[in-house]
Amino acid sequence: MSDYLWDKSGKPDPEIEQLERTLGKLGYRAPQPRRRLWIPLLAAAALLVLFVLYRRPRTPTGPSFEVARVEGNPRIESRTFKTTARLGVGWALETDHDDIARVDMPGVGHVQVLPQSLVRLAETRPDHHRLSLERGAIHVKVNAPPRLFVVDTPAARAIDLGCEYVLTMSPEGVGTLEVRSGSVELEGKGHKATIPAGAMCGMRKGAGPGTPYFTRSAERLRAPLEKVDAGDWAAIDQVISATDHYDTLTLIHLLERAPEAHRPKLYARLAELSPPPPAAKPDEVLKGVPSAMSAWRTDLEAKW
Amino acid sequence: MMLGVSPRSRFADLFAKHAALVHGILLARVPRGEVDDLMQDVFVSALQGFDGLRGEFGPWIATIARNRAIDFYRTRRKTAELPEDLPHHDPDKSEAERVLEVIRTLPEAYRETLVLRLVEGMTGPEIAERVGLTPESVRVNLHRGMAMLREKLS
Repeated sequence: MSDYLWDKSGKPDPEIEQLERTLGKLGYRAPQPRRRLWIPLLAAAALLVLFVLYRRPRTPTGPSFEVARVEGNPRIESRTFKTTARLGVGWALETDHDDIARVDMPGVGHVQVLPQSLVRLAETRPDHHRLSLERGAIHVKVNAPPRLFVVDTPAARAIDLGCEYVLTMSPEGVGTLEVRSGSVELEGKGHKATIPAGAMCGMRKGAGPGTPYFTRSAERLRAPLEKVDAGDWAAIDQVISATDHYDTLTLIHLLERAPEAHRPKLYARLAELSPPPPAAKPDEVLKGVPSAMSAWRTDLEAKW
Repeated sequence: MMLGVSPRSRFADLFAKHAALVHGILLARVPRGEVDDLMQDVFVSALQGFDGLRGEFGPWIATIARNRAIDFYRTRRKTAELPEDLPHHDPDKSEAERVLEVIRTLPEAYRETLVLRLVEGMTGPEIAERVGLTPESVRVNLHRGMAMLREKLS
């Protein structure tokens, strides 16, 4: 027998139905399951990360260079790019462990920005282009006229004299320049060094460029030169005794910088390896007269 | 092989299944505004004693709910209560509360059964199974209680 009150079967009783409708509003309502907020939050965070990592780089309004991604995910102004992007003036190009990027400079050459580097385009004009290497390493190939392209670092400025070179700079401001072809001039803190192909030179923030030396002499000269470059001129005898006929590059730079007391022995060793030209009179060289020094340097450069 | 279910997880499932029962039992006895808090008390009490449970969950939790309602009247502070028939923006709800008040005047066995049937929407067999009464007892309670309610509402 059907009984609506008992089991809701059979013909509904209108009065009971009315009571059910009225009283049902007071019945238990299971709490709405908590929305899993972390899911949309996580999704939003992931989207944000993707947005930060992959949002399209801005397009600079002024002069700029094209940057190509070579490996990994280099970033321009914190934005990654798939193949190429523009590097505007003042903008930063940054690479992490696995990233390599190439800056193409039409009519100038290109710069490969190696991993863990931060490079900024400081300035670009038709007759002058300047990058800033704040940390990391760059491999530069320039085919423009000398002095058109320079790279600033916290330790020294590298002025291209038509060449290929690798420039490194640590976050602490200690760097090296290794020249593969042509030559590069380093200047900073009142010092100037000319580094020809096959040579390298250290540099340090606050001290400027060190003394250049040929790579083949590095094993003999690097350690004593670091002492001298740090101001320990007592190590000059070690340097002199370690030089051979390749090292006129190192000796002429030392002669230009050395305190007067150390010049005679430097002069003697350099003259022994490559006698000075007539324009480089010994007394003038010992006094550091610029014209005499320049004459000897020019004579030596032809042999490097 | 069956995967193990933790006691706490099993308790949560059982409590969810019997939540309407607990709600109805409390609603039949205490002011509506107290029901949610008392449900929480019942939940905590039941959770604490769940490990020692040897019988059926429904009758056991129903007993805890009834006892908690009794405790409520024993221990509640002497405070002035707002009448439950204050004007309300939902006229239907006011009517519901009015009818509920009438049900609460019925004998305990009838009021609980009627609330579970009319408010919580359970059928007679479901009520019998969950509170541990025989179907015949529930059927009697429903019909007698309904008859008394009709009389009072008329």
